Amino acid sequence: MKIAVLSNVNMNILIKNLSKDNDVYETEGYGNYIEEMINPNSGLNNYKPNIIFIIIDGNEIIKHHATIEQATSNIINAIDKMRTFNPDNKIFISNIDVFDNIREYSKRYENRIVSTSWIKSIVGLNTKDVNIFDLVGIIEDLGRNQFYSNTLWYMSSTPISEKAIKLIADKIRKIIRAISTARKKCLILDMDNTLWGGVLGEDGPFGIKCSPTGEGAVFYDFQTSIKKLKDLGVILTIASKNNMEDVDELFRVNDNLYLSKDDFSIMKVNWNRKSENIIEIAEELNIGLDSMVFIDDNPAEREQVRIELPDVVVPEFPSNTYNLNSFIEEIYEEYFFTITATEEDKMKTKQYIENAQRNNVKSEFNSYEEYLDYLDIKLDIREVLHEDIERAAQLTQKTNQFNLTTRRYTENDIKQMKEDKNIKVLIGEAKDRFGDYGKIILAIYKTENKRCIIDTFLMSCRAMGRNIETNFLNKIEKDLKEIGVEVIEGVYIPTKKNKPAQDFYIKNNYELLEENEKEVKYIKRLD
Amino acid sequence: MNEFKRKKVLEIVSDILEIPVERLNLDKPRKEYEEWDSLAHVQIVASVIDEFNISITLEDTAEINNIRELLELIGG
Repeated sequence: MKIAVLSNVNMNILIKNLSKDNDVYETEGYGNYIEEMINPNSGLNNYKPNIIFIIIDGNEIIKHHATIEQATSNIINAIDKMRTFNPDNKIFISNIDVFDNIREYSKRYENRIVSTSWIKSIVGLNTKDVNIFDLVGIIEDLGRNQFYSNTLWYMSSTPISEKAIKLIADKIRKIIRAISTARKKCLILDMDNTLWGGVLGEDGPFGIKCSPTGEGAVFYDFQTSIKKLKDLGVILTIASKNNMEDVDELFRVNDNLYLSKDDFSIMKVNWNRKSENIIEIAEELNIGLDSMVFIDDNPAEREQVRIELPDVVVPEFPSNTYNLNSFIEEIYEEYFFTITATEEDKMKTKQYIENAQRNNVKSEFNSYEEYLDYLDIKLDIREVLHEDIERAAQLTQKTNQFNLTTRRYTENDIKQMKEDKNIKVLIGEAKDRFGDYGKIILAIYKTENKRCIIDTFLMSCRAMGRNIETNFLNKIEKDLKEIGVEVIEGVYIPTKKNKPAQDFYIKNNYELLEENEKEVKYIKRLD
Repeated sequence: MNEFKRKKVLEIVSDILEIPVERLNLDKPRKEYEEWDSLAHVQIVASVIDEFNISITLEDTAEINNIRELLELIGG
């Protein structure tokens, strides 16, 4: 991941800080960032950063522009221009702090209006992949006295203190991490003294503490925050030592809980070891233990899970429960931080529940074939349309397990391939009697002189084990045969994670063509 | 007081250069520290100014060659 920090003031200290663990563009000097963006041959445009942070000093930008709208439109025009050279970058522009205080007190509110107009005119332009970097949030947390340094300003045109630079760098790292690595998927919660105050088995459904006001408010607010995580696509589950009848009764009779039973994809309410329950949850959801976070007030339970399942994240529980809500905010920032939640993300909880239902009925069938018949899977295959491009790129970026070649493509790459006559990009959308899987399978192949080479073949892991991949390949083969293709060549490039795709071509009657350390090539003659 | 100032200055230098305090040498010329470039120099002096609420001119800043001279300048 290559990044750039642009600014209207000197940000070399910030750049130096970020360079410790990132590839950061060495700016050609501050203040000419607009020029750097619009010049096709600038260092910036040659560097081609994936993420650009534009940190703006409010007082300075105002000094140099007649109106705030003029300042923002300058920046946005520059972004549009830059995107013609480097179309796929993500941009974060800071909001601005304005504090011209030597003026009539009755006019001081104007500072706030200027800051707000800045955000409104940037967001209002609705430029793709341009987000606001919440610089003002950092200033509010720290206070202006600590955020700014007059000394650094007059000595080196850096208005911001050492301390504030470290906080900005932390926030930038968080954003880079959110973009470059997958966030955690699932939150596992204990119940007694975690989701509510007290012990359900002893205090009863009306004795536990959770209510919009009064003593139970801290737990009510905690539940409210957890619900927000769910709305961002985090899967909520329970691993708790209680009696299930008590829990059912509680959710049925106590209206003061914010969360309802349906908010949880899986509930393991029993007296088994927590680690066992967590393993079962991971298996039922078909997700890795390293994508789970476990919250429990009991130090012994936390320790048990830490020892048995070192991949699961087990944060310390706050000793002062009044701090539960800052705690869950930290959990969000650390493990579930999200720049933009896609529709797919938001649907995720529903899909994982549907999947658990599918698994539950599995045992009722004599054979796997009968089970698949019952599921009644419908696969809709089409060449990618404009509205599929974002998802197609996302699939190449995120799919690790069933991915034959693990080639990562940007939206722009997909667009270009879509326009190439010799290349086909096919996407498949699946559904069955329990619900939609969404767009889960993708193939990219190139056809020349009656020979086809499959560049990419992948499928999201949530659709694995349904023969969808075989049906998809059969459809491609049939299409190719119709247009007179005689030979199909497929390749498997092994990675640490794509073992599930290893035997795909062999299973589908392809012959081994050649094999070396990097890749295995397969071939099939159509006749 | 002097001991306090000296300790604080060493902490600032250590923090900015990312070198442990024990490995700092009061008399080693700054040019001989790889990490102590002109940017780090400004960071160190600015932090010292802010910490002790004193004035150091840019001219004096340029003339500071090692940690001892920095300490002398602030009366440490």
